[in-house]
Parts: sequence; C-alpha cells; structure tokens
Amino acid sequence: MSSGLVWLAIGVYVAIGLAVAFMARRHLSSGAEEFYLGGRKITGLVSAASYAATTYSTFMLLGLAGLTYKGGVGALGFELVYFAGLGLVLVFGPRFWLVGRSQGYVTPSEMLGARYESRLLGGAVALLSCIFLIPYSAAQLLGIGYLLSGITDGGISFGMGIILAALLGAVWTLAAGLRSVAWTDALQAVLMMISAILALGFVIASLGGLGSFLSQVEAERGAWLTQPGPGLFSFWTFVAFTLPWFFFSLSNPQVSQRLFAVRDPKAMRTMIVGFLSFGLVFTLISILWGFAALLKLPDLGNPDLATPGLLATGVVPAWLAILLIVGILAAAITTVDSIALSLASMVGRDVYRAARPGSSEAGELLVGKVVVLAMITAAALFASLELQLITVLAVTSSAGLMVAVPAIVGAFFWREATRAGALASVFGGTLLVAWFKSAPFNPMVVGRPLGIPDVVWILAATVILFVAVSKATTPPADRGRVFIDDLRPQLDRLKIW
Amino acid sequence: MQMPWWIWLLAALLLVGYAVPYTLLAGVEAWTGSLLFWTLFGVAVWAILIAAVSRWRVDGSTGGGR
Repeated sequence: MSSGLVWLAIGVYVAIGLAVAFMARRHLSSGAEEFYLGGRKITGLVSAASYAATTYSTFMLLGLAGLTYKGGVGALGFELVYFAGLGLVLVFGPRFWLVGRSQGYVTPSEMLGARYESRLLGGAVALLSCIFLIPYSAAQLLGIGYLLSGITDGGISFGMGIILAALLGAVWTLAAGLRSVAWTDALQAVLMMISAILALGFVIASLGGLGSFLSQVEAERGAWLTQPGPGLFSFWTFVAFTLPWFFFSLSNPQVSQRLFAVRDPKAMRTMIVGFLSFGLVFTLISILWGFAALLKLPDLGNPDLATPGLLATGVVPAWLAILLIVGILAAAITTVDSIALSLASMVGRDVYRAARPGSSEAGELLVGKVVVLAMITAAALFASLELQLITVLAVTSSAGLMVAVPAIVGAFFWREATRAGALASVFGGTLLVAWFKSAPFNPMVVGRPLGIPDVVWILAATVILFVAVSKATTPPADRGRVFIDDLRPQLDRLKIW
Repeated sequence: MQMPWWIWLLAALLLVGYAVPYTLLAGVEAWTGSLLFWTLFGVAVWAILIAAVSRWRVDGSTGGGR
C-alpha cells in the first residue's frame, strides 16, 4: 500500500483527534482531580467507550490475532478468562467510587496508602506500576511499528511508526488530562469497532462465507481448534497466561483509576454494560481475524505480522484497510495515553507529593506532565528493541502488577489486614517476580518449580505473605472502617453486594 | 455478608471453562468443539454480569457524594 495514502489517512485522523482533544481542553478547570479524573464527572457512555478503548488495545487485532495464529483456539479461552475477570469491576467498582468520592482519592495507590496508613506502600505501588507498565506500553508502540512498516513495505519505517504513536499519545494526554483522553477514546472506540467489523466481513466473504470459512479451518488447521492445539497452550501455559489477565481490571491502574472518574453509580452501570458488550464482540472479531490470517497466509515467520500481512493480500478494499490501520493505531494510542496519565497521577501524587508534604498541587501536576513525557519516551525506546511477540510482553507486565491484588482485595474485605501485611505482600511478590524474570541471566532460576508456572507461585506467595504477616501484626485502630463498615449502608441502598 | 448468586455462577463457569476444552473437547478438531464452547462461555459470562448489574438500584442516585 502506498505510504502517501496511509499518511493522508493518519493526517485526517490526527486533525480530528486534535480538534476533539482541544475541545475537551476548553472544559478543563484547574486541579489534579480535574486533570486526572475529569472532575469525577465522566458520563456513562463516554466511560464505557473509554474503558473499552483503553483495555482493548493493539493487543487485540495484532497480538490476540497473532496468538490465535500461533496457538489456535486457546487464544479465545485466554481472552475470555480476562472477560470473566471483569466481574471484579462489579464488586470493586462501586467500592472504589464510593470511597474515592468520600475521601478524595485520585489514584489507586493513594487509596491503598491511605487504607494501610503507609505512604511507602502508595509510593511503592506507584513506582512498580511504572516499571511494569512500560513494557506493556512498549508492546502497543511495537505493534504500530510492525503494522505501519508492514503495510507500506517499509515506506513508513518501524521507528517512524513508534515515534508517531508515542507523539500522539503524549499530545492526547497533555491536552486536557482524562477529559481529552476519554473523549478521544470514545471517538476511537467507535472507529475501532466499525472498521474491525467491516474488515472481518470482507475477509470472511472472500473465504466463501462463515460456514465455508469454518469448514476450511477444520480441514486445513484442525489442530488449531483443539487444546493444547499446535503446542503453545499446554494446560499450565494457559494458566500462566490467564491468571494475571483475570485480575487485570483490578491490578492495572489505567483501568482501575477510571472507577473513580464516573459521574455516579448509574453511569458506572452504563459503563459496565457498554464495555462488556464491546469486549465480547471485539474478542470474537480478533479471534476470527487470526483464523482468517492462518488460512490466507499459512507461512508467516512472525505471528505479530498476521494483520499487516492479511491487509496486504488485498482481500480488504484499500479504503477499509486504511480505516482499519487507523483504528488499530487508535487502539494503541488510547491505551498508551491512559497508562501515561495514570502513571503521571501516581508518581506526581504518591511519590512526589508524599515525599514533600508541603508541596503544591501545581507542582504535582507539573511533575505528572514530566512523567507523561518520560514514560512515553521510555516505552518508545523499549519498543525500538523490537522484542518479538506482543502478547508475551503484555502478559509479563500483568504478572508484575498482580502483586498488589491481595492488598486491594483485603482493603475492602478484611478488617484484620495490616500495613505490614500489605507491604510484605507487595515487596515479597515483587522480589519473586524479579527472581523469576531474571531467568535468562541467572542459571539458578527454575522457570516452573514442580512444573507449575511462576505466576501461580507469585500469586500464592503474595496471598500467604499478606495473610500471615497481617495475622502476626496489629490491625489499624479503625480496622478499615471507612473501606468496609462505612460503605455497607451505601452499597445496601444501591442494592450492590 | 453472603456471596451473591452471580459470583458462585461465574466461579463455576470459570472452572468449566478451564476444564472442558482440556478434557471432553481435547481431541475435537472441529469448530463445534472448543471454539463454539468458549464462544458460548463468553455469552454466558456476558449474560450473568449484565443480569447482576441490572439489579443495581441506581436510577437517579448519586450515591454517597461528598
């Protein structure tokens, strides 16, 4: 495809995105709550689209399609375990929202720090999120590098693709914080969904319709329809992939922070219904897209190239291919900008401001904006290393973020939970993640002790540390009253468990 | 505080979601095997969560505002 045409489409997309972002800026007042949470006034529909666009990133049409190409139907099971994990939003969403509103929390790490009366915990969770989310953001940029260079035959270079996505992510974030992020997200979610449905329709039609498509998969790639399939998804590998993914909605601050930002519980319900519906459809599209690539391009060396390869075959008309490319570009940017914004708020608030108690909110915001630029630059540098397989990178980061899960759950459900328990579980879990991830350079690391994957050990260790150390230490005097007892009557009134 | 029905149902569904493709459907090289099974699993999860959230009494509510 001509790179001029692709540049033209990107130009139109950027112009519209900039107009939306700067329109959002006109509504921006001052203050951290305003910049990071849109003044806690984000409506249900915008929240739904933004949550969906943030969660469903490049990972879907590039990574998940590539994973289907490589591992078969297990990729569907894997993504649907994440989908089932969205049930956590029904339990924790209203709790985050209520306590966020009553106590003025802006970030999940700030909330944890307050619950366990530990600035160290809040700061540590904020910094860990930075470390673990940089590879995840890099995976997004990497996807765009592959896509744009693949589709234009190198006309747009890999590095140029990365720089473009990084630059747009930074602009969308800095324009008006969450308002510009959420508004551009909403626009891009619509673009992602429409272009993906249409493109899949054309591909399936070119394979003779849905029935014929499925019969061809059976005939030519039968093993890809079973577990463990062509070899990738042994049972324990499936567990290793899915376990961190199940807790994604709780462990990843760029999505859990959104739970503070919705206008009211009704908007939260609309958000949940919206992103569940979007998620199911988009998951099925991505999987079928991967199977289609398998039939059309049986000999790809790098599965991450399944989508650009499929688009280059010409089965999708050029105008639609370009729309889809812009849709995927949008998917990457919506994720990167949300992560950048979330990390900015956490570092500005829970590291900078916590370390300098007298500092101003303006200082906090300035630090946050510097973090946006630093984090996106780091992700771009990381992406330029061109590590293969987007999914593996993404899953590694989720494994790291999982270490905060026991402390988050305990915050709302366990009066006996203590600061020492939370700190032990977060720091102990992090050390264990570092130990397992050092395997390439450290011959002492056994990748799967007793045949069981590292994430299972990491989760088990964090839970055991949290419970055992909490039991051995004294709970705070109020025993989590604000997070447990004070919420109960409000939840009862809303008929929420 | 008793766990609501939908959490039990979701947990049971997850167990089935992990077990069936690796056992009953392990050798089925047809789209009517794990592909259809997991698609139905996804639809069931969607239906359970929508049913659970639709029981929230949130119309006109602003919850516990500051």
